[in-house]
Amino acid sequence: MTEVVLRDELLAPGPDDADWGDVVRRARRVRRRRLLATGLAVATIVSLGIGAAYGFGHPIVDFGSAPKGPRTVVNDFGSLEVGAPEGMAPGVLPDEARRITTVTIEDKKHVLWVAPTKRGGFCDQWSDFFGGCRADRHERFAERIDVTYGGSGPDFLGGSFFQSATARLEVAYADGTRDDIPFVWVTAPIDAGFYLFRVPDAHRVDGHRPTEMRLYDAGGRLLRSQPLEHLSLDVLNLNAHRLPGYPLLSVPREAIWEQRRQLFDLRADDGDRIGLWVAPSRSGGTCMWTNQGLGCTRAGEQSKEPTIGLGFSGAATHVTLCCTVGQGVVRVEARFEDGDRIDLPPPKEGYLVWPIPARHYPLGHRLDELVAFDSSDRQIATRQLKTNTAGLYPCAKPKQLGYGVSMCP
Amino acid sequence: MQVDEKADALEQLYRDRYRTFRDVLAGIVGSHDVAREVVQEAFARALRELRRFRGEGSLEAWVWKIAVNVALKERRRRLPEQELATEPVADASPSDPVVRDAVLALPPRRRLVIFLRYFADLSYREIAEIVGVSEGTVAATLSQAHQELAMRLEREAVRP
Repeated sequence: MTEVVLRDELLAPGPDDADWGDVVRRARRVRRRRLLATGLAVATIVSLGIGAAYGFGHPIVDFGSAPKGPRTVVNDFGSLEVGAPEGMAPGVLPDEARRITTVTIEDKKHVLWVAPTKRGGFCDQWSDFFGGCRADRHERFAERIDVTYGGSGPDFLGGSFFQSATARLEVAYADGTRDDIPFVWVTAPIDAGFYLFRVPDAHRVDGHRPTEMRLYDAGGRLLRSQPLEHLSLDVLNLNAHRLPGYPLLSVPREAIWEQRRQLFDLRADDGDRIGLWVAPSRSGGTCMWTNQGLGCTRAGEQSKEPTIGLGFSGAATHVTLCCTVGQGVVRVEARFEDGDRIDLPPPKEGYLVWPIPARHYPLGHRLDELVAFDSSDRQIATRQLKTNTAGLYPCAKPKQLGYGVSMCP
Repeated sequence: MQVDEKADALEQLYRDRYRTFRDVLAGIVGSHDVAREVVQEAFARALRELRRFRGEGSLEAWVWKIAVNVALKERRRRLPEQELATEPVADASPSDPVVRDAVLALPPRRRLVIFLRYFADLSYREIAEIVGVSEGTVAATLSQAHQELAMRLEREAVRP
C-alpha cells in the first residue's frame, strides 16, 4: 500500500469551517473577564437543570438538586480562588458548582454553571462565553442588574439580578420599543436570576439600541430600572500600531502618532526590546506608551507625578519597571534583597522604563527598594516594593496551587 | 523570528492546514465537531504562548504537539472509561469504509502515528517529537501499522 493511496483513502473531507477570528478571540479571552463577543444569533433557553419548575412564567432551578460540575468546571471556578491577586479572591466554593441551564446560540450550546461563594454570593460561567462573580450581597451592589455587553451593537446582553420578586425582565430601546428577556431563577444559596439575550439586528443601530433594563414583579410594578451604559471597544480609546522589532503596540487614541518620539530602547534579558514613546495628545497634554503600558496626562499635569511613579509590569518572560518620576529626580537607584544596587537609566522628561535583570527574579534576590536622588545627589524619596507578589516574576518551576493553576512564587 | 512574525506564520499555517488538523484530530476525539473545538483551542493556545516557540523545530510540529495534547485531554475528559480507538469518526466519509474501519481499529498510538504521517504529512522526526518517542520507534510503529492494516484489509477482502 503506497502512502499516496493510503492518504487518499482516508482523508475525510469535512466542512470548511475554519475561523481564524475565533482563534484570536479565544487567545485573547482572559478567563473570567467579561468577554466582548460579536456575531451572535438567536439565544433561547432550551434545557433546564434537574429540579426545574416554573414560576410566573420563568423557570426556577433548584440549585441543590442540579447536576454537579465535572472536574474541568470545578477547576475553572477554583482557579478564580487560587489564581486571584491578593485580596481579590471571591471566596467561591468550586466543588459546589452546578449546571443550571443551556442556551443555544447559532447552534452552539452554552452551559450556565454557577457556584456559591462563602459570602453569600456566587460566581457564574457560560461555557465558551463569559463569566464573573458577584461575591457578596452588599446592599447597593445587590440592587444592580448585572449586565455584560458583547459586540458593538451591543450584540448580546447577559448577566444576573438578585430581586427575587422579579416576574419579568425587559430591555427598552431608544426607539421606544421593548423586548422581554427570558431568564431562569436559581434557588438558595444562589437566589438570583440569570439571563442571556441576543439583541435583534434592528436594535444594533443608532436610534434603536438598548437603553435601559427593567425588572417588574408579578403585579407589573417596576422593581428596578437601570440605564445601559454602552460599552464597546471604542471606550478603550486605543489604537494598535506596529513598529519593527516590537510586539503590537497599544497606543492612546488621543496621542498624535506622527509626532511620537522614542525616549527608551532597551533589551530585556530574554531578548525582547522594551521601548517607551511619548507624543503630544490632542488635548494639549502628553501621552506615553511602552510595550505593556500607556497613559495620557492633561496639560501641566505631569508636574503632579509622584517622586517615584514606577511600578512593575510583568510579561511572560521578563519584568519591567515603568513609567514616571517626579520633577527634580535625576537618578534612581534600585536596591535588591541580596544587597545588590543598580543605577537605573537616567529619567528622560520625567519618564523611565527599565527591564529588571533576570538574575534578580528568584526570591531572595528581588527588587525591594527604589531610591530617588536630585541633581545634588541628595536622596529625596524612597519607595519600598513587595517581593512576594505571586505570578509577577518568571520562574523555571511554577508552583502548583491546585485546581489546575500553577504560578511562580 | 519576532512574535508578530510568528503570529503571521501561525495564522498562515491555520489557513493552509486547518482542515488537515481537524480531520486528523477527529480520529483522536471521535468527531469533526469536537475536533474543530480542539483545533480552535490548540491554535488559540499556540497564539497565546508564541513566545515559547524558540524556532528550534518547525512551527507546524510545535502546533501539532499542542493540538495532539489538547485532543488527548479532551478525549480523556469526554469518555474517561471508554476506549475511543473503536469510536467511529462520526463525520468522516472516506471513500472506502473498509479502510476507515481498519484504521480506526488500530491501537491508539499506531493510529495517531498513521494520522500524523499520512494526513498531516509530518516527517518521522516531527512525529517523534509530538508523540514523545524516537524516530526509530516512529518508523517501527508505521511499519507495524502498515502490516496490521494490510492484514485487516486482506481479511475484509476475502470475507464473503
